[in-house]
Amino acid sequence: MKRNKIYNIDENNINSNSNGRTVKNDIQNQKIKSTDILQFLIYFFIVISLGCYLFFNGFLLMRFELPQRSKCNESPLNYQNHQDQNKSFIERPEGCWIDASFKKSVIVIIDALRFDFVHKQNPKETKGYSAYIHNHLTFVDRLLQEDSEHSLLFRFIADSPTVTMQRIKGITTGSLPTFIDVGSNFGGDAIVEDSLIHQLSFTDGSTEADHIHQSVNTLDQRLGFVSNETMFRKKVIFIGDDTWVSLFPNHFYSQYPFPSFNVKDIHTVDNGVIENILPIITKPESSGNWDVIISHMLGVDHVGHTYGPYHPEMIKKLDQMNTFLQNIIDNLDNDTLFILMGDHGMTSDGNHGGASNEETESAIFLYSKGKSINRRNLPTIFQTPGSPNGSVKNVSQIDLVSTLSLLLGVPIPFGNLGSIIPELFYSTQDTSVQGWTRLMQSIRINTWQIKRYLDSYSKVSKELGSSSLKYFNDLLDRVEKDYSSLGSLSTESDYIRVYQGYLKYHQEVVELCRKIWATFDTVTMKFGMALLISCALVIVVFIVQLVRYQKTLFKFPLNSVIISSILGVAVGFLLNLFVFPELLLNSVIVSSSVASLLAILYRVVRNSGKNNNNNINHIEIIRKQWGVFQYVLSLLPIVCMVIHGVSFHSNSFIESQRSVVYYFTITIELLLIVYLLKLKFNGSHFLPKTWRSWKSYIAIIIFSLFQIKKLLNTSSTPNTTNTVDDQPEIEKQQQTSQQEMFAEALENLPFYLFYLVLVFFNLSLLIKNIGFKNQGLEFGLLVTRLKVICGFILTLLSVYWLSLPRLIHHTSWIIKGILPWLMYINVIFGSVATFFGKHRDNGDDGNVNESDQSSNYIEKIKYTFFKVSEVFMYQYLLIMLVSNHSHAESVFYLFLAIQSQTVLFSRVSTTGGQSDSNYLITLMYPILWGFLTILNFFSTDHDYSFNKIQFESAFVGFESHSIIRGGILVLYNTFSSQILFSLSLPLMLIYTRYLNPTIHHHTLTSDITSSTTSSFVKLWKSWRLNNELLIGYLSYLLFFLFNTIMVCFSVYNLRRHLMVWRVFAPKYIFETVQLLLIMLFLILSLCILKYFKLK
Amino acid sequence: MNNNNKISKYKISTSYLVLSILFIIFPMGLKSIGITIENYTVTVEILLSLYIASLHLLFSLYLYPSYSQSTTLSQTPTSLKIQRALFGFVIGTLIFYFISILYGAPFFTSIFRTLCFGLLISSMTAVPSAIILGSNPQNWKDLYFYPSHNSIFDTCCTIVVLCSLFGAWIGAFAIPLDWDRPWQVWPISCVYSSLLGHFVGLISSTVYCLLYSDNSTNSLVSKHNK
Repeated sequence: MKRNKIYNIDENNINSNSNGRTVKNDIQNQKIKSTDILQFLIYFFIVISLGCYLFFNGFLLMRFELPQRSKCNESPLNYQNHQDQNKSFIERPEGCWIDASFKKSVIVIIDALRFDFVHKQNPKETKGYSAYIHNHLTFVDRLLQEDSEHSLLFRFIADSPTVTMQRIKGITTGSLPTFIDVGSNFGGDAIVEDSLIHQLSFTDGSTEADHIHQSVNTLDQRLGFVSNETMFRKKVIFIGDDTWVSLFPNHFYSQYPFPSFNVKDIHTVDNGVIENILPIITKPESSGNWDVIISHMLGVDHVGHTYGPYHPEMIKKLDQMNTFLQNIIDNLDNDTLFILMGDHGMTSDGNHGGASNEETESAIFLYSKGKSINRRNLPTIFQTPGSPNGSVKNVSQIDLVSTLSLLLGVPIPFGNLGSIIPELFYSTQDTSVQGWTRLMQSIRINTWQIKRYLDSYSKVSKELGSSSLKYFNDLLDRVEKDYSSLGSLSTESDYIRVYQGYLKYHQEVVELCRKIWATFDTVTMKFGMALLISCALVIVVFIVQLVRYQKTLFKFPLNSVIISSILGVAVGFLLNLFVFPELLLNSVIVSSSVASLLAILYRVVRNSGKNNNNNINHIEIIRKQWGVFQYVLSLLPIVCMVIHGVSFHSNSFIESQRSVVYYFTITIELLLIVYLLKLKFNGSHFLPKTWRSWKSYIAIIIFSLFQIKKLLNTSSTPNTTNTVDDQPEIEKQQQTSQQEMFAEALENLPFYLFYLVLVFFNLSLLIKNIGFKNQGLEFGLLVTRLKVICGFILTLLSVYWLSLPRLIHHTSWIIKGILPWLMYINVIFGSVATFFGKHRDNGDDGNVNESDQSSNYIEKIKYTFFKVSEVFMYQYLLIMLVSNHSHAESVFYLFLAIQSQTVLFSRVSTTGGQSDSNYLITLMYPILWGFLTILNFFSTDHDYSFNKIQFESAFVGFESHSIIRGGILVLYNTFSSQILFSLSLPLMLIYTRYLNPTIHHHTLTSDITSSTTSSFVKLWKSWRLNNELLIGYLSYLLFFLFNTIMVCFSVYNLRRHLMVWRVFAPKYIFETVQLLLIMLFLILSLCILKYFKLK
Repeated sequence: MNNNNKISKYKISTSYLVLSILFIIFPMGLKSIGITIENYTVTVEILLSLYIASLHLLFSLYLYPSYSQSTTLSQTPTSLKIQRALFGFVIGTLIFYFISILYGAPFFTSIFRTLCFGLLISSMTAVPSAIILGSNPQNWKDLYFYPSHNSIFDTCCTIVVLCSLFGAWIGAFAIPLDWDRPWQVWPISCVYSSLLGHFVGLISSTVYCLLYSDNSTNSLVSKHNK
């Protein structure tokens, strides 16, 4: 009755792809319509990509880094007609675009110096007053009282993310850094953009390369070996946090970096700074002259991270800072500007990274002995109206860049968005008119510099929009008119008007840029997550339904999906009107996808509800048959998956994800082996006792030993952080060690080639193992072709690797590229040839007996399997080519892992798969498959971080650089494991379910009774129906979808975490790319499968 | 089918409670006199494993009815129980050592620690099972692979073994965290958590015995002895 029902569904539907004769003969079989996995998968692909896109949009803010640099002889005032600008060619000693006010400057940055640490707090009035943190930096208050004309204190407002590295970028480039600054090289941290440090250190046109000889060794300079000083515009000396040195390699005249890595180390950096800075300031001749000293102290931040701010250590630290700063100030001369600032604040538990007031409000204190910088009776316009304390003004962190550049007489960095701090320009002059003139000059230069940047940026990116650009131009034109009308007779109110005009321009530009670059869009992030989660839920329900109603046809409800998504679009517009007024795209995407998901859900639930009689009461079966072990076996993989996902909330687990994944893999693997042993004891299994039954054990043991070896290798190499001060020397060492490694790899080449031979043997063994019987000549030719092409490619590959050391120095690209090119062509030829080639017709004679028919089924399945594996093989060879030869071992083991797991799974399901209760166990294959995917990703020396990408693979066979081609090759290299595992997923599923040795055994011995024939018919029906494949695909997809969702969660929750930009964000990006790529290749494998299945 | 029937479930339950208390007293006592696992890992591991093994042996001598093919009717003689315990202890140690290596325990650096960890886990899992099951693989399979258990002891043994193993498994999760605590070093966290798991297992056996309904005809007597 059941059978009738299924046949009724498609009585009229005759498969058009098969020819008429086959239909007549195998009418019973051809009529079984299959659930179209492809449609479901493509649908889920679209929805998941939309979800990922939304989240990505909300979380990652992109900004393009412009390579231009400001030049001393190109004042921005004339940049639009700069042909007449080439006249003033000489750098003026008194300053570049404007005369300098100060010759020298000492900049002290104290990490995590919150504003209230510096500003005097009244114990009674301040909310949350604490003796631990307040009123320890007393010298600031004393100077403000005693020497008020010479000192200035501002509230220094940082942008989020309030992380040290991003803040340093902000303080030096004057821009609003985002996570991905497109244009920077992923490999290093060095700032590519124009920066204050660059302008200070380099004259026009000189680069870091000129400096390499200069700053090789600080010791040399101390001894007086200073040469070629003209290369420096200013001599910048850096002391403190070594982040600066990695951000600005070879920028400094001399540098004293100290390791910043260990948060628990409170004193190293500070003591280093304290010991080194005073000798430099007081005795300039010992270290050459200096112009700017930058020192960055980490103690306060580290105390906050380790103990929290309310701790006696904090008192000690702040008191130490106070004495130290007092000392510096006592030793300053009159030409020097002293700046004390914090890069960000800290929360009450000592952390930072977010955007709360506590974290963003830092302090900046300026002091100059000689010049007045804070005149009495300043125009009131300089005060921020309505600033909280009245007396203390807010200053944005990026404002420092332009101010300092102009004060020291260097060009403002090209990408600066900050506006100058007016007090410093107004007060340094004698009369108020002079003050105003100078201020006007400065702010005009500043404005035009911003305009120049905006114009250049809008050429690269369309984010700014032409309308807003036009608006800004109009604004500027108006102000310029006012400016030109200024004359000697102008009153103060005229000046104020012009000043306000410029200021308005600055503020609106920054506001726009901040909107684009520096805010997390939490609503969009939430939308994206909601979409991903609902998609995952639907998939879970789908899997459950599929498991419960295995024999039901699930048709993809194309019409209802289209209708519901159109309805969803309409609802989205309505939502946009009434609920989320500014989120048109978001609400449309979310509502349409949710609507279509609901349509799918409805269909899935209702569809299976119709065929209730197919329901097998699994719970009953489980209760009756299952021992403790079976519960553990079926639940533990799911537990592992959940724990693995949850572990993404901790950065330590992400950093050691490799061991975590290995741990879970070996857990499931051991369980499977024990289960296999159990089946052996059962006695119910009827395998031919050949050595092949042991092969899987041996393969697994070899595989895990290999993994352990890899684990040991990675753990033995210590995390070398740049602790020593001499950066170039370390680089040199690294270079030599790289060369050594390369030489070593070449020495081991024969060893790697051995793996190629192994691959070939393995391959032919695999083909043999599929066990074709009764195959015609044509099929034999197919096999031979595969073998020949693979052998040819492998030979080429070995020749290529052998000749690699000689090829490196060869100039002709033809000789360099010919071998890889041959291999590419072969791979393409092989893959294309797979699709042509006719499959012979089975069962030509009408009277086939039952046994022949059943073996026919098997042959058809085998044919499909063979074809799909052929495609897989070519992809594998391609990946082998793209991988570095030192990874030949890993890639070989990847192959071995796929093979051994498939055999193991088939063993388990052969012997245990008699009853339907095994379904929960088959669910775990995809989970284990997923774990293995990640594990092999690691074992091919990749990691979820940008600096582990093997970029050299972009140049296999190519010399020139092309983004798309190189990108594809790098993707193939990086995600080789993901690609191979998702391509081989159908192979695993087919082999496990339909080609496992039981069936093999039967066909070999022709021991076919009527009961086995009926089981063959059953098998064939499920093969046609596709449901079991669908379960496998969906569970594998679910594994990665779940991981991605968990990463999204952790990224969302830990936006303010210390490690978010170092650990979580790269992990998130990789995870998303991985998910999309896996889905893409799953779809690809399905297309191939479908093609050959219909053939 | 004689005196075994007279063992009431309350007696079994109480004995498990006593066992668990005795079990947990020892490491606490060690700690109170200053011998912590952090300081003397290997020593404590050996001491604990010996203590636990002997505890289980005594427990079995006091309580277990035992079944094996060698002794058809009555209880297993004491000597056989001791033999089995020793056998389980040794084999279990080797197996668990091998498994910890497979799981990625350091291979070259702390061989002795890992071996002793195997010893400890073996004393908590292999010893009690071996006392019940002997060396016949069929018995082992029956216990762990089939749903219907023959006696209350079988179930309790399963609970205890699974809890200890699960504890040991969970314990490894603390190792990669960056808290820099002394107990995060392999195998200390695993030792702690497996001890905890064992304790939980014993307590839940106590509870299980109380809830156990002996409606079925031969609940307390093993089928094998019939």
